[in-house]
Order: sequence, then structure tokens, then C-alpha cells
Amino acid sequence: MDPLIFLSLVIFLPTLGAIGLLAFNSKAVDAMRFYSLIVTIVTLLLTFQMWTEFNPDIAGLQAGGKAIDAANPVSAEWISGWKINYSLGYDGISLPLVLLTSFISVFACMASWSIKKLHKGYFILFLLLESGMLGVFLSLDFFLFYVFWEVMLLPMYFLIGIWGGPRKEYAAIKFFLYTLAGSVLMLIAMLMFYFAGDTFSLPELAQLGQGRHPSGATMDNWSQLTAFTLLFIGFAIKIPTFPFHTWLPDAHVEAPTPISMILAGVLLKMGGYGILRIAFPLCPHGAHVAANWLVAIGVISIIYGAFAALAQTDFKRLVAYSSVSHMGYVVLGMGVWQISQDGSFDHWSMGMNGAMFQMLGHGVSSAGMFFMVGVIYDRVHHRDLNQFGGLAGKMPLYAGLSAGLFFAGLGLPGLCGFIGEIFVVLSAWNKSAVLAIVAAGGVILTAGYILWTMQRVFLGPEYKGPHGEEITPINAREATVGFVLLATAILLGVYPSIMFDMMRGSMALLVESLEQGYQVAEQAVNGTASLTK
Amino acid sequence: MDSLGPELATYLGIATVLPLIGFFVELICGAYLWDRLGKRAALCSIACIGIGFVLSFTAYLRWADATDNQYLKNVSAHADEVGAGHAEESHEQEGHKGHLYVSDTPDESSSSETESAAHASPGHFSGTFYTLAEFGSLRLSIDYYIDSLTILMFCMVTFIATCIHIFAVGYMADELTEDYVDHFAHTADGKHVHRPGRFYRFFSYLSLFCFSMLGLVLAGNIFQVFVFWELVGICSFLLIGFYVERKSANVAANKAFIVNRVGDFGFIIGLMILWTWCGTFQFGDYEKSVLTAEIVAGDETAELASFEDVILVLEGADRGLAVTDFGTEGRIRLRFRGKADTKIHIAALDLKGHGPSVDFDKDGGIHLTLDSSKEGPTTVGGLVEFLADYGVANPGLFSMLRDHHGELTAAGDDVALLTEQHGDHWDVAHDESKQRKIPYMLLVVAGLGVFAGCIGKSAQFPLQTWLPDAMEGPTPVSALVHSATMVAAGVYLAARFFPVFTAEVLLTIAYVGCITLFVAATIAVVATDIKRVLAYSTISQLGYMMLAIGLGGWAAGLFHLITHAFFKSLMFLCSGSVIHGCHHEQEMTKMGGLRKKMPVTAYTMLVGVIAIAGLAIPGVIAFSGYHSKDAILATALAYTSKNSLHFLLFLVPLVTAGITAFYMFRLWFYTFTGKPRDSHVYDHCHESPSVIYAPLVVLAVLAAGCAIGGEHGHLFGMIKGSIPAGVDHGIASFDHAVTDVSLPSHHEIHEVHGTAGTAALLSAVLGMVIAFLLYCRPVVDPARIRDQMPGVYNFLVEKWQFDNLYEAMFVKPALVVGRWCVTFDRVVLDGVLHTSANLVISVSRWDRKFDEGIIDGFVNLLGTGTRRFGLSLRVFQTGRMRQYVMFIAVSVLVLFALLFVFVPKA
Repeated sequence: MDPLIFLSLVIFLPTLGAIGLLAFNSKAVDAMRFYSLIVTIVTLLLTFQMWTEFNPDIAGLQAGGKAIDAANPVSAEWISGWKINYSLGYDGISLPLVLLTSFISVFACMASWSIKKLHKGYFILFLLLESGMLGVFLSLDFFLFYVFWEVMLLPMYFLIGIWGGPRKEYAAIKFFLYTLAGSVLMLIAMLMFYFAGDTFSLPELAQLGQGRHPSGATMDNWSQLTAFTLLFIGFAIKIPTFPFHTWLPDAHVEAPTPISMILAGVLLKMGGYGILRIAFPLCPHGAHVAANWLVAIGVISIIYGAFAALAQTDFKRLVAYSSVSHMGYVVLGMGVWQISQDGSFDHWSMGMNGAMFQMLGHGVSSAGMFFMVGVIYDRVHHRDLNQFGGLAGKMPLYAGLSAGLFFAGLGLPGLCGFIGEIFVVLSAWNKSAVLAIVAAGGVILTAGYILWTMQRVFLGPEYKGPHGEEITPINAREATVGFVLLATAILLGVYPSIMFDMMRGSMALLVESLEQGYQVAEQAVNGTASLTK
Repeated sequence: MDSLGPELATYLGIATVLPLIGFFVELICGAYLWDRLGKRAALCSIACIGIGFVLSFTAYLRWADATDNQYLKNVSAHADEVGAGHAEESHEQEGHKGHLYVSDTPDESSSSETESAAHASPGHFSGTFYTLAEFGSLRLSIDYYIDSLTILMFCMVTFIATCIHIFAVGYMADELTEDYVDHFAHTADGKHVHRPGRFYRFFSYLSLFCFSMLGLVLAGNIFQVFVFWELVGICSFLLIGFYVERKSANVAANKAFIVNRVGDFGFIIGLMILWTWCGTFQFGDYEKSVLTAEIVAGDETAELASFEDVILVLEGADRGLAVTDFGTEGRIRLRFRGKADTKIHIAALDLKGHGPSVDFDKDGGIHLTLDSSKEGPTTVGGLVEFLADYGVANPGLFSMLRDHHGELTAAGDDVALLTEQHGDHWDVAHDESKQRKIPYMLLVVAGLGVFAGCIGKSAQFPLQTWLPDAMEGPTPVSALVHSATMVAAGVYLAARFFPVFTAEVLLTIAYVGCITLFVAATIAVVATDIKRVLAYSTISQLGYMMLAIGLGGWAAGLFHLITHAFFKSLMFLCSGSVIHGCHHEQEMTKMGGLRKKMPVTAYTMLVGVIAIAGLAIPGVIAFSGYHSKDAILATALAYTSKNSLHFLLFLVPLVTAGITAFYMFRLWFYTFTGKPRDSHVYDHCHESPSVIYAPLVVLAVLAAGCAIGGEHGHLFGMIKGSIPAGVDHGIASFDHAVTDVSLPSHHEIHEVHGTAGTAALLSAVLGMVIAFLLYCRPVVDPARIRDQMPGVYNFLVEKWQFDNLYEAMFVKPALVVGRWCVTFDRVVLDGVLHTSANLVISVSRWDRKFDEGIIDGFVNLLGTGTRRFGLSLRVFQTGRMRQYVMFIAVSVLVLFALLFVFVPKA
């Protein structure tokens, strides 16, 4: 199949599924659930097909196993007057995230059994959301990227605003406004690039930013830094890093369980992906200049999120703050741009790979943690950490699976959280010894809040809160979700090269081209400086 | 001989993985398939660890066989015998035609079978099981590092674990029920907690622990040690908190893990430094990605000249990953980054006039025409080997830091990293630009960092507080995890990592050990819980081991580790037997006279007590602890006589040897002799069943006899087989070290052995006699001493106030800071958000008012004005002709009147 059509199918299959849902009777709840589940599973299978087609030897963008270049453009004209194209493609950076998206969507869909009202609308929005997310990861045109970014925003707004908890309106509008603010910044940067390079094509704009555009067009260093700052803030809101994170706890607390899973599992990764796909390649010089800030922001997020998590009494809010802390490692890993002792960029490369892996690992573990919170919330209808206890005795399987997923969050070796965290931390000393030490201090706090939470929820002689009689062992559907997520966490933790093999080439290319781009920009500066002398 | 490394790795690898499989089987089958009242889980668990022991012992026999029992003659197993030899990969690659391919083979096919060894440190095998990730020259993998110490540790761990598993079948039998009543956990209404028994889960956790512990011992790099370090930590967490219903158990479990994480924080800092500066975590030398070159030349026998300034431009690796060019002194080194099995075509090969001339054919291959007029050492076939041999040999951490005398190499004020291989040893790169070094202070910090991890795991001062609380776990756990194996891992790592530690670090280790052994021993004197006494004693003994390692008594420290493992696990199991016999009573104040009721337990315990106290009749009979403690004290004496400033490092352990004997005999007298203090406990007390006391007897035999021969014995010889280079001769401080201490040589230690031994024995006898006079045949009532010194007593009972101090210093502040963060979020960040939101809202309100009031008002005003005006005009528009005519007439009149008045006259 033509790659463009195939990738379009991957993106829009959920949308087609959503249209199909219109034909259902609103009362046929189970039929709609299973139908949606099947749609997400088929999408997952299609993304697996992308994986089998993926050729790890091609470092650049590809589709259908062939590199994307002038001879093989996977693109169609869209709005020709503005040179906007519908171009798709993927590489070792986007593919893992595409897989994560379709994977988490399946299990979020399985978790959607707990939705109790307006099922039809819910599943339609859910599937539209999946289309938006896949589109973001697969589009290679800045404008298209922007459109998908916004497309994904609306279903999310309604999913939180309609199916959410008591303060859903507040949370939904907060989420919406924050993200929109980020989008506006991104829009400005996008226009800056459009007027500098006369194109929206991301690969071309990357060439522009790296000073190797065929037309010789460049962007001066100040514009680069400005554009980078705009883009970074836009994406940092999504990640979210300190100080743009306060929408996250509210959104999570109010969102229904499956939406929390999507939010933590996939949406946050869009921020990291945006930095890797857009902010870094388009403005290498700006990124280099800002790298110290990135590292600092990452470390502050790690520590700040962990401290805040330590003080929570709401189970979901705690997991939300742990997300802030864990996503801090992503920003830290990206920022460790520094030559290693042996003159290579191996440590930075490790940091970038670690950041990528952290996104995947966090995607699995945080989705799992939110799911587990949802399971108990469905039974006892509260999330007050001081009113749990003794669940290990009443729901042993639930407690076991949760413990595994929480340990993954804690960064226990053998589980997915460890690899990303430790890789990032190990690479950080090369950049800044002090910040690396502070980041490493996160391990103590993380252990503290996770274990204390587990103690308050699962351990102890008896359950202390209301609705104790409602506590039943988890059912087969819930156990399946928990089990698969935990098994994935173990797989990624024990055999991480399954992911590293996928992304190594693209990451190396990215690191290399960024460094070259930075050198070109530096030479330009030095060149003009020597001329003025 | 070449296959010995992989063979040992296979044995030990299987021994490691078996318990992991056991864990999953026991956990899943135990919960869903097997009868909850049956003992299948225990059998499965015992089978796994038992087979593990058999495999470890097989490995030991193979090792002994291969080294020709050299250690029996007390000669260290030197490298030439084992571990030499490289994989024979490239021999079959001769005789093809045409092209030169250089391809990068997967690590596992070659490096796991390649024992790099010979030169680095004597007698070890290292290799890779599989790679986790590789970034350029950085590689993280799951490796093995096998020397006699590894094998010894495997045998010790698997053997003791097997004994303890068997013991646990009896001890945990009360879990074999559907309705277990937990007398220590209460619900809110004051009732005991009832729950189903969790026999299978206990054994599955034990299995997981065994896997983690064995993985830790087998680890071939420090990163892997860290991985398993955390895993044993979490197993310890699970086992301490096994009785999840008990709050005290949960708190203790959390405390153990979090305090360990504090140590791990340091550990990570150490890892970061080493990773950044040395670029490797491997202990032994290794080959990162071994190259195989496929050479095919039409010209079979031409010889090859020396290669200088070889520049290879490699293409075809789409990712642009091929790194090129090394080449001095007649070698080609090729470094590739990339995925396995990628064929990399050489697009250009510029030999700058040397060696073969080259031309390229159209499909990217290269024809080599060899210049036979130039002389060279190797034939074409040889070139293949040549390339392969020089593939990418890389020094591990140990070879990188220490030369073959065990000394650091100075490079200015820094420590040079040895990366250039010359025959059987490593040297500083002679090319200035490629010289690598690490600042000395960073090396010190790295060492201190890794040691911080050891402090946590081995419960050393100041992180010792978690171990006594860890006694909340079932007694077999205390015996296995918290005395014999996991807590000893810190000592094991300190020993393993010895070559990385600088003089400052070693001195720190020594002092930490010294403080720990004293502090813990003093607290043990006043403890009354039988398990807690043993816990403090464990801490104290671990302090001895650390002290020994810090003083350069490498073998002595490990010697004590092994002997201690036997006698302490024995004593813990004995205490378990007592607790089992007394129906879960642990307070010694309620015991007494139990010797008559449980003789086997009492006398096996006595063996342990004598062993730990170090009592012996020299020359006639001596239990294991006597030998190992002697070795430590001899090292300490030799050390202090060389470095007299640090005399406390001998004095304190000597005095503590007496205290040790005192509190151990106090425990024994308290429990087993005299009159029963609580008749209820005594009356219901009984000897344990044979499944419990059989392991005691076995362990007692080993506790007494494992160190037979002392420093000329088998055990000590085995340990010495792994001793790092230079330790035997004593190592002087690095030139730029802050402290100036020198470690004693084997010879110097040997000289003072007699003196130290006598002093230690006297000290121990004194301790025992005082215990006898206080607790067995009371001359003085201990209570009176206590009453006379309430300050000291309370200070000791409060464990030197560490817990309270930490609570106030760290735990509470952390929570406070956490609350600050939340408040900051709510007040400042959300405040800014809400303020700006409110600002926008109020601006829009103003906007509305402006719109409605002013703009709309104006427009409306205009509108209404016009309208009113129009309306007012309506009165005039009557439609009556006469009226209009009159208006016109009047208007004309008025106009004319105005004209007359205002227009100036001409």
C-alpha cells in the first residue's frame, strides 16, 4: 500500500470508527464499548505493521521501509497557496511514541467501562482524540502538526469537562487555556519560520535552522533563540515542567480514569516529542544556548514534583505530581548538551536516548498507576490517602499489580522507570555536577512518597474509609489491563534495547546534526565578528 | 581451558536465574493453583536454591581443578593459568577472494566468550550476558565477573540459603492455614487480624531475594551491582514487611528502603563520576564491539607493511555511525558504532603510501594489492587476526586505574587513566591528545559515593538505624537477608571495588567501620529483645569487616564475612527456634533456663556464641570467628604501628572484642541458663521439630569448622586467590593524596599476628567472665549498675538518639518542604493564574461597560437624539396647507428682520 495512504489510515482509522459509532443505538452500551475496543486494537495492529516495516538502518525519516527524500516524498499538496502539504512519515523517535499511543489507547479503552453516562459521545470523542494524537506524532509538516495538536485539544476538553469529577469545568478550562497559550506561542514561532524559510515542511525547516538549506537561507541566532524560547515554553506547558505544571494535578484529579491514563501516558509525551522534533532541530543554536536552562528546569521539576507529591493527601494528585517529577528527567536528559571526555557526544546521546526512554517508561507506568487509582476509586468513591489501608488483604491481586506498577514509578531496576531515570542521571554529570547531584537526590524523595503511599493504601490491618463493603477483588478486565501494563513495564526494564535499537540511529543523527547546526551558527557569528574586526 | 569462563558463567548464571523462575512459579501457582495448606511452594523454592548450590559447588570444583588447587599451597591463582586466551573467531576466514569487509559482530557472539583477563587482575573471567544499551563508546550491559571470591560467595549464599529455606518450612508452618490470627496486628475495635496464611508468598519472596543476591555477586560491572543492589533492597522491603497488617513492620520496611536510598544517593553520585570520566562500569577488561574482518585477497602470501596514519573513510552505514581512524605503531584499530550485522563498506582507504595499494571496484568492494617489497610481520591471513585482536580491547575500571603493581599513575595533579595496552599490562596513552585522566579529588568523591551505598546496605554508621527495626521480619529473613547475605553485600562491594578506592576513601572506610563496631556493640549491651541483640551484633561485626578493608586487610575482611555468615545465620536461626519454641516471645527478660527445654538449640547457639566471641584454646581448638577476628586485629595492629596517628583503629576494635564476648554471653546466659523468669513462657516452651533444628546442627558444624587452618586454611586461600594487585605488598599513598597513610603488607601483618591474637583473646575472655559474673552466677545485680548510670543507660537504650535525630533533621523537614511546594503551587503559581484570569475577566467587564456605557451610549444617544428631534418635528408636519403657508410667511418675515439687523449697511 502506498505509504501515504497507509499512514493516513493509521491516523484516521479511529476517526472512521468514531463516525461508525453514530450508527449505534445509544442504549447499546456494551456494543459500543466492544466496538471502540476493536477499533483501538486494529489501530494498534496497524502501528505494529509500521514497526515491522520500520528499517532501523535508516536514521532519517521514513515510511513503508524506505527513506523519505526528494525522490520518495510521502506527501500531498494541501493548501498550495501557502505551501502547506499533507506530509507524513516517521523515524526512530516518533515510532516508539506512536506505538505507545496506540498501546495506551487500547488499555484506556478497556478502562472506559467505568464511564457511566453518555457513552456514545464519550467513545466518539475518545476515538477522535486518538486520531489527533497519532496525527501529531506522524505529521512532518509544521502546519499539519499544529492542526493535529489543536484537534486533539478539543476532545480532551470535553472529555474532562463532561465526564470529569466535581470541579470538572474548572479543570477543563484550565487545561484548555494553558495548552492554548502554548499553542499560540508555537503559532508565532511557526510563522517566524514560515517567513524565514517559505515552507512548513519540518525537514526543510530543520535544514534551515541547521544552516544547510539548499537555498542558503538561514535564520540569525537571535531569531533562533526567540523561536526556541517560544517553542520550548509551548512544549514545556505540555510536558509539564515547573512552573507551568499546575494545570496537570487539576486536570488529572477531575478527569475520568481512562482520560487520566491518556493524559499521563501520551499527551505529556507530546511536549517532549515537540522539543525533539521541532524545537531542537529547527533552532539548534537557540537550543544550545538554552541547554543550561533546560537542565535547571528539568532538575527543579524533578525535585519540586517529588516534594509536592510527598505532601499530597489525594491519591490521584499524588500520582499527578509524580508525573511532573518524572517528566523532569525528560527535560534534563535533553539538555545535557556537552562534549564528553573523549571528545564525542556520547553522554549527550545517552541523555537524549534516556529522555526518550523515560517518556516511554513513564507512559506505561503512569498510565498503570492512574488506572490502579481508578480501580479503587470506582469501588469506594474517594481518593483520600489517609482513608485507605489494608487493601493488600482485601484485594491481593490488585495490590500485587499496583505494587509492581508503583515500583516501576519508583524507578526500581528491572522495571521501565529505572532505565530512563538512571540513564538520564548518569549522563547529567558531564553537563553540570551540581545539578546532577540534585537530580540524583530525587531518588530518595521518590522512594519516600511512593512507599509511604503504598503503606497508606495497601498495608495496615484494615480499610479505614467509607464504602468498605463495596471493596471487591478486581475483575478479569481490570486484571488484564494491570497485568499487561506491568508485563510491559518488566519487558522494557529487563530488555530496554528493544526500544533503544529502534531509536538509536535517529537519535544519533539528531545529535550529530544538532551539533553541526550549532557549529555552523557559531562560525557564522565568529565569521561576522572577524569581518568587523 | 578457554572454555572454563563460559562454563562457569553458565553454572552460576543458571544458579542465579533458577530462583527467579521459582519466584514466578511460586507466586502464581501458590496463589491460584496449589493448595494453600500444602508445602509445594517451599519445595519448589528449596529445589531452586538447592540446585543453585549444587551448581555453585560444581563451579567451585571446576575452578579448583583448573587452578590445580594452587590456593591450597596458599599461592594466589595467577592469571597465566586461567583466563588467558582469546576467542578463536577469525581462523576460518582465510582463503576467500576479492573484497575487504569489515563488519561489526554482535557482542554476545564474541565478547561473552572472550575472556579478557590475563593482564588485568589475576585469575578472573569476565564477559557479557546481554547488552542493555550502547551509545557510541558507552555501553551498559549485564555482565559476569567470576573469580574465586565470586565462586566462594555463591557457595556461601546458596548453602546458607538452602539451610534457611529448610528451617523456614518449620518456622513458617503456622502460615499453612486458611485463618491465620496475627497477634501483633489489631483492628480499630481491638481484635486480632484474621487472614489467610501466606506460606507460598514467603517462599516466593525468598526466591526473589536469592536471585537478586546471586545476581549482585555475579555482576560484572558496577551498574549491574547497583541494579541488583536495589533489587535486594526491595526484597528486603517485602520481607521485612511480610506481616503487612502490622504497622511496625510496614514502618520498618519503609525505613529500611528509604535509609538505603540515602546511601544509594551517594552510590549514584559515584556512578556518575566514574561514568563521566572513565566511560565504563566494567570491572574487568572487555571488548566492546569486536570486529571481524573478512579479507579476501587474490594474492595469498604477500606480506604487509606497517600501517601508519591509516585513514579509513567508511560509508554505507546509513546512520553515519562509523568512526574511523586510529593507527600508530603498526596497528589498525577500528571503532564502529552501529547495529550488529551491519556490513560497512570501506569507501576510501588512504594508507598514505604505506602498505598495500588499493583500488575500488564498482560495487563498493576494495581490492587490496599487497606490496611485497615492504617488510611486515603478518601475512594476509594474519592480518585478519591482527585486526580482530586489536579490535577494540578496552580496559575495565580496575585496569584503567591501577597498574600491575596496584598503584595509581599520576598525570600532573590528576590520576591518569590507563587505556593503552602493552602486552600484558595497561599503560597511559602515549599520544598526548588521547591521554585521559580523572582529577584525584573526583576519584576520592566517587569512592566515597560508592562507599555511601555500602554504608546504607551494610548498616554502617551513620545509616545503621534501619537494621534493628528490620527485625520485624520473620526470623528466617533476619538470618538470611539481614545477617548473612544482603547486609554483607556492602562489605562485598567495598572489597570488590577496592582498586577504585583511594587512600582517603580507605581511611574513611576504616573509621566508619571503627565507629560502627563500637556504637553497635554498646547498644547491644542493653538490648533485651533477643533478635535485636543479634541485629546490633551484626552491625558491629560488619563494622569489623569494613574496618579490615579500610586498613588494607582485604582478605581478612572477607574472611570474616564468610565466617560471620555462618555463625550469625546460625545464631539467628537458634533465636528463631527459641522464638518458635516460646510462641513468639522475643524478650529475653521473659526467658531463662531454656537450656533444659531446648538443648539442641542451646548448644548450637553456644557454638555460635563462642565463634563470634572469638574464644579458643590456641593450638588446640578454635572456631571460625577466632581466626577471622584475629586476622582483622592483626591487620589493625600492623596498620597502627605504621600509622601511629590512627591508633584508635586498633584500640577500639580490641576493646569491642571484649564487649562482643560480653553481650553475646549475656544473651546466652540470659536465655538458656538460670531460673525461668516467666513461668508461663517456660512451661509452654518446647524444643523445635527436627526440620528446624537440623539446619542448626549443619550450620553449627560449619560455624565451628569452616575456617579450619586459619590463614593457612582452604577458605582463606580461596579468598586470597582474588586479592587485588599490590595489596599483599602494601600500597603507599598516591603522590597527591591528602592523607599520608600506607597500608601494611602481608609480611608486616604476619609479624604482629601473635601479639594481636593474644590481646584479642584476653579481651574476649574478660568479656565472657564479666558476663558470667553478672548473668550466670550473679555477683553483682545488673539492675544496680543500670540504676547507677541512668544517663548512659537511657542514651544506649535510645540507640544514641539517632532515630530521634533523623526524624527531626530529615523526615519532618522533608514533609514541611513538601507542604511549602504545594502551598507555592496553590498560592503563587495558581495565584498568578487566577489573578491573570480575574484580570482578564475584569478587563472584559470594563470592556463591556465601555461598550455599553460609552460607545453604545454615544451611538444610542445619537440615535435617540435624532429620533427625538424627528419626533419633535412631527408637530409641525400637520398636512394642513394654511398652516404651512403661514410658517413660510412668518419665516420670510423673520429672515428679513434678521437681515436688517445683522447685515451691515452698505
